[in-house]
Amino acid sequence: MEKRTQFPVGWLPYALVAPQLAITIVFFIWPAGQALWQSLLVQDAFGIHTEFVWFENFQVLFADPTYLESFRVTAVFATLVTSLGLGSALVLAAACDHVIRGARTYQTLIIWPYAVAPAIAAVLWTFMFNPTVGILAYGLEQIGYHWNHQLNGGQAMALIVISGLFKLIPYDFLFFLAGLQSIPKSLIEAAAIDGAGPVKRFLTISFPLLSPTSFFLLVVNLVYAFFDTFGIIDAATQGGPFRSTTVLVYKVFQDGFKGLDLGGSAAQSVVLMAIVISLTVVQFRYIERKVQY
Amino acid sequence: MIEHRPGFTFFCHALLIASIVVVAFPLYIAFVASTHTAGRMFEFPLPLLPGGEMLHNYATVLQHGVAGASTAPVGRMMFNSLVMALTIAIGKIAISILSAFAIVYFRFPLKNFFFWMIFITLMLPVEVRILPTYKVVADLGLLDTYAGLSVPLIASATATFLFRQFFLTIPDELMEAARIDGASALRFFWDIVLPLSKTNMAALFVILFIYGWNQYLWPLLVTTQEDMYTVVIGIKRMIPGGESSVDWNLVMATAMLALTPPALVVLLMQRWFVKGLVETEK
Amino acid sequence: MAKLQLRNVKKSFGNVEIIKGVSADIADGEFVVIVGPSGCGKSTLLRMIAGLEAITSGEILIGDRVVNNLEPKDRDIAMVFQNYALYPHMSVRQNMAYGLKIRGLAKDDIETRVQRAAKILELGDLLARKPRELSGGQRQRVAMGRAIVREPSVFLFDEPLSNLDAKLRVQMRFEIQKLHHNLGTTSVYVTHDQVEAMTLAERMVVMSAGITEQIGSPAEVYQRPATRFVAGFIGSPAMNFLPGRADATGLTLADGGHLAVSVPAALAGRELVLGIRPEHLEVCAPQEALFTLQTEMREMLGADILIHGLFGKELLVARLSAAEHPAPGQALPLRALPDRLHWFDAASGARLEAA
Repeated sequence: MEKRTQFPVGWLPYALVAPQLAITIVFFIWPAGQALWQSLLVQDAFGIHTEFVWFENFQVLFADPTYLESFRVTAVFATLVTSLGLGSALVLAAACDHVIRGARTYQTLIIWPYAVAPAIAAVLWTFMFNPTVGILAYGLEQIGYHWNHQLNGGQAMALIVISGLFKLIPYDFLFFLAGLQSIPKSLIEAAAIDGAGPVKRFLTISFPLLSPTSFFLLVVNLVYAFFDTFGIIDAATQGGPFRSTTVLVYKVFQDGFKGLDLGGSAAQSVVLMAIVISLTVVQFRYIERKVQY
Repeated sequence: MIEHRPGFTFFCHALLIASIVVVAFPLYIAFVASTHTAGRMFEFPLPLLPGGEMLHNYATVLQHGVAGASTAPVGRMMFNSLVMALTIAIGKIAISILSAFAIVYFRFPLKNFFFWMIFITLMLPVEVRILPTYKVVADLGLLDTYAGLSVPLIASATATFLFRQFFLTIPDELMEAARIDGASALRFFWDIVLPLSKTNMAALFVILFIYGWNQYLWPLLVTTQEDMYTVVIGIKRMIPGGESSVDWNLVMATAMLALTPPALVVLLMQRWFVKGLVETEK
Repeated sequence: MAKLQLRNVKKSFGNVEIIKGVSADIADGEFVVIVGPSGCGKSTLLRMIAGLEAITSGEILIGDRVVNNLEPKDRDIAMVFQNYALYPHMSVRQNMAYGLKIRGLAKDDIETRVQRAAKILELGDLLARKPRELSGGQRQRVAMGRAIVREPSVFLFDEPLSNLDAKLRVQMRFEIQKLHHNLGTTSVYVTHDQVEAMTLAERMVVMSAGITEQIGSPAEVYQRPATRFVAGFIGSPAMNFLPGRADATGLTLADGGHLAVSVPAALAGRELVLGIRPEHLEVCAPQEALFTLQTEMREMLGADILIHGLFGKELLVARLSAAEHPAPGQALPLRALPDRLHWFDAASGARLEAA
């Protein structure tokens, strides 16, 4: 898409795109190409000798039980965060859309956690659940439940899910609310005249009409769960205990920076790229479809 | 309201209030913790009301940081975060609006190729190219610099797309009228496009400021000197693995300081925040 | 002020030829309206004159300069757009002054010109307002004001009244006429509305599918349409057409119907189309009738009445005085004066002269 008439072309348009292109090439395309290339190489520990090994890194990777375990952890985490996030955000948005008085205030008070860095959210919740000083851990102790996410992998997963939801729910809430508010009032009124109560109206009218929004959010939430949660993991659990919270992005970092396994880390990067690209493609196909409506 | 159902409406209010309380609870507890002495954190029952150490705690972290933790004073780290967030927000807006302008208002060779190159950045978040990007920044000598912190995060397809979408909604005739009035491309950009983009820029600024301030992985990689830490990564260094001697009161004071600027931006610029959030993701 | 010449101007987008060679001479100070149905290329032609579209071949001259490769700003023209294209963030004053400012005129000079234009267009009280605070008619005036302050050699109008309601359109038509009378600037005005074209034009260019069908004064175009297309396009309701073969006794229609019309000798034996304007039909005695219309439907317009009916299989319209009101189904004998009959070649659509 472009304008029907254009300014005369000289050096100007090139100068205008140059800064963005320069940064894109230097910091995006070149490193991504490097990752692709390195994923095909094996380097010794001192970085002196490098060998081209085709897809050996990938073979090693997918034969590695810790990597497969990391996949499983990521899947569990993504499923929990996405389903809980979408579900609670939808309920809250529906409630906020139903009430008239104070809706605006509710909105403000629900969306502010979006501003909190995931890492900071993780620090707050880690503090709350800290076995010695955490008020929630203390509360749970009082009712006979022993909480220590530093030892219990399930509890560690619960902690990062809660921290992850902190930013996700406001985001989903805002989109669901916008979606609900864009449903024509006359549709809801027609359903009311047909005798449907608020819950029934929501289930039969609003929810189906929200399906494009829901699908969009599903993809965005998955991207978030896969890629934006590094700070949460690093601040709350460092992937532990016993790798029970080592999601894929955390493992790339661990193997690359701590383990100095260049080829393996690069191969993991390539796998991650494949995941982002497929999610992006899904998202764009959806947007294309939306345009046709 | 379509019909009168006080019970259901009451239920909705109750649900919303309950969720707000749940969300605000950790914030409140963090605030309470930041107003007590370090020792009070380990006494039962745990404090539920603010204590009297607030000013002292905040002054301590801002000026000196946390004793024992290898970080700079929080004041310094807040400044680093601010520089990074502002550079990213302003830089991204600047380069995106320029490239979007070129793409929409000019027809030039290689345009589609450039457009796709920018588009591809959507698919390459920093998490998937950690090591090589780190290496590029290291080779350029940008470790522990503000440029190293912000420039690699400045390129973004989303901001370019947002401006492109917006430019396409500006009537063609406006540009034609300006051409007849004798405006050059840059003059048209400066006199017409930029003023019309104000609300979009404000919306984008809010989102990008939060994005920049809340960065975690990237500053973790490119900073090694304590006085270049941003507050978001600094706070994590205050909690060493074995939590024997964590000054939780000071850590929570730092957390409060770290989350206040972006939270204020959201609250004070809520209208633009909502617009920015909903539109950048379209 | 300047004359404007188009010399075999063509425009193609890819393989599609949009303008297929248009030539016209527009005299200094003349008001010319380009009219045609949508998609005929009239707006593209105007935009080529403005310099907003490149010219594929041919020449455009403003004054005595070939302007083919000049930027719009160097062509000494001003343009009024259909959607006004006012800069939304600028006040009325700034909108009008913008072009002058870019040209580097002195502040006083700009202010004088803006004030003068504002006075002509009665915009004096609105100078500080933003476009969104104005009504459609006021925006239209500002758009014209922006053109006037430039004091260009040629005004270009691209359907400037189509976004206004009917009443305002009539009023603005008067204002544009008045303006042209006062300023006397060469003007090219594009519209699809034939009433606008007829009322405003000193000369009109009727276009269809990228070619000029006729160039002439409104009276010429109405009285002696050069082609069947022009005949059908100008005039409302549209001209009645009766295709048939001419012979000594008259015109024999395709459906076998016969019209006892005196066909000019030169046209005998040819496939022709006879055109008669609805307003030129009149009721007569049966023995004088050109044909008899089976009344189908009536439309009361007030002073006049439109009678739709069938002659054989041809659906025809007559515009009669409201005093006539034949009942549906009634046969109505009609005639037209011989000099009000138009003859066109059936194949080419070109006008055929009786003599």
